[in-house]
Amino acid sequence: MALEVTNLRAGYGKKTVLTDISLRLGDGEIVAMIGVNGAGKSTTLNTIFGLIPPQAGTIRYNGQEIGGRRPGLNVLDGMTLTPQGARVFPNLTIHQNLTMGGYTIRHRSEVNARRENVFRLFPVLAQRLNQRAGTLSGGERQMLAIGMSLMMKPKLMLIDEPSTGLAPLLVTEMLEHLKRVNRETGTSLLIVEQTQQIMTIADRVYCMKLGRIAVEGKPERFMDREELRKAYLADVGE
Amino acid sequence: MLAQLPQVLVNGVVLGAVYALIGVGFAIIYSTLGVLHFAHGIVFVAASYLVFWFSLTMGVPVWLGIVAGIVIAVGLSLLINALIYEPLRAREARPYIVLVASIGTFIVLENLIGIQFAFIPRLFELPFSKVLLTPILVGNIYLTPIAIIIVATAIVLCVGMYLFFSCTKIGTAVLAVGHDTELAEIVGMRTKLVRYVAMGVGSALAAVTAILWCIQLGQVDMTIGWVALFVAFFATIFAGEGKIAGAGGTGFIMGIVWNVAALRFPTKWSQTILFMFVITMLWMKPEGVFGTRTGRMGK
Repeated sequence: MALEVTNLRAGYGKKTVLTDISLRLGDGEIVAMIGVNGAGKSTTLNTIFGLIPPQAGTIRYNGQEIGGRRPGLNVLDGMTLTPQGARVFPNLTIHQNLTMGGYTIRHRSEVNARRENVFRLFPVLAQRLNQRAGTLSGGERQMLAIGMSLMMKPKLMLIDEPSTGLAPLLVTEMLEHLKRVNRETGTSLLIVEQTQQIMTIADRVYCMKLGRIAVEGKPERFMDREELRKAYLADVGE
Repeated sequence: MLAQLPQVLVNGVVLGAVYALIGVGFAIIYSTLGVLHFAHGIVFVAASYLVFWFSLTMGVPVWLGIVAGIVIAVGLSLLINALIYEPLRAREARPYIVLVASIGTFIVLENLIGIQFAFIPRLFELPFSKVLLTPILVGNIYLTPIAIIIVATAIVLCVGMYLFFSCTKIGTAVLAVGHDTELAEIVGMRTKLVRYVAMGVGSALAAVTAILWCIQLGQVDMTIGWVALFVAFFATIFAGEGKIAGAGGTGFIMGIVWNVAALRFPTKWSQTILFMFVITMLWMKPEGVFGTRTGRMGK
C-alpha cells in the first residue's frame, strides 16, 4: 500500500476543512480525486504532503506514519507534490527550475542524468533550457512543473489539477504523459482534477464533498453522466 | 568646469561602489525574506564601532578586530532574524507589523551603541589609515589607496555574488525562496535555513562596506546607519522588485549623480538633487529601472 489515510481531519488555523478523510492508494495505482471547488481536495493533498499539520487521524506512506512531518523529508522518501496552477519559479531558467526540483539530490551527475530523463518525456523543455520559466506558455509551464517533480524519481506523486489553464487537446496529452510515467516507472499517482478526461487514465476515483469522501468507485461508475453530475454539484443531496 | 569632470567621475565611481555594495546587500535580504529590513542600518553601525572598539580602545590587532567586527555584526543580524522576523513570520504578522518591529529594533540597538560610545562622531584612525588616505596623483586625477581598495572590493564582491547566485545550488535556492517560499518548501528546501543564509550574506556585505567606508571617512559616526539604510532602501526600490544585481546598478548610478551634481551646484544641494533624480525616474518608470511587470508574478 503506497498511501493509507485514515480518519484525517485538517484545516487552516482553527478552521477545519477536512472533517473525516479515509483513502487508500495501491502501489502503481492511479487514483483521481474529484469534487466541486472548496470540497477540500487541495487541502487533502497539502496535508498528506506535510504543508498543513493534521488535526487528527493518520497518514501512512509505505507503511510508515508520516503525518505532520516536514515536506522535505517526504521528498527525500520519494513523495512529491505538484501544486495547482503550474507553479514554477518564474525568474529562474528552465535549467535552474529543474535543478531546484532536484534540490535534495546530492550528486550533480545524478541531477544531470535525471534532467535528461525529464527532457526525454518533455523534449520541448530541452529546447528552452536557458529561457526564464515566466516566459513559457501555460502548457509548457505545466510540463516544467511536472518535470520538477519527476526530478525526484518519485514513488508517489500528488498532483493538483494538472489540466488547469490547458486547451482540451493539451489536457489529453498531459494526462497521457502522466499515464506513461506511471507505466514506465510504476509511480503511484494521486491526481486532483475537475475535468472528465481524468476518467480515461484513473484506476479508481474518490469524489469529495464538504471535507469528506462522498463516493468512491471505478471510473466506469462515474462515467454515467447522471452520477457524475451528482458528484460535482454541491446542491444535489445524497 | 570640464577640467574637473574626470575627477568628479572618479569620485562618483568610488561613492557608487560603496552605494552598490550597500544596495546589493539589502536587496538580497529584501528579496529573500520579503522584509523591509530597516534594522539593516544597525549592521553598519555595529561593524564600524566594533572595529573601533576592538582595535583602537582594546588594543586588539587590527586584522583580528576587523574579522571580529564583521563576524559579530553578521551574528547580530542573524539574531534579529531569529528573535524578530522568524517568530513574526510564524505568527503570520502583516508586513507593516514586521516593518515597525524592524524600525524599533534599529532604534533600540542604535541607542544602546550610542550610550556605550557617545553619539558624537569618533576619530577612526587605524595604523594604516594615513597611508590609505594619502592621495596619489594619476594623470591629473587624485586617487587614494582606500578608494582603489573600495572599488576593487566592490568588483570582487559583486562578481562573487553573481557567481553565487548563478552557479551555486544554494545561491539559486536563495533566489527561489525569494520568488515562492511555499514552492521552495515543496521541492524540499529548508526555507528557514535559506533565509538565514540570505541574511548572513547580505549583512556580511554591509559589514565589509561599513568598515571600508569609515576608513575612508576617517571617523565612525552613528548616522552611518541611517544614511546607509536610505541608500539601501532607495537603491533596492529604484532597481525594481527582486532585482538584486539591479540594486548594485542603481546604487552605482546614485553615487555618480551625487558627484556630478556637485560639479554644477554647491554640495549642500547634492542630496536634494540626487533624490529629485530618483523620484523623477520612479515617476517615469514606477516598476524601477530594471524592473519588469512579469517579475512581479512570483510574489
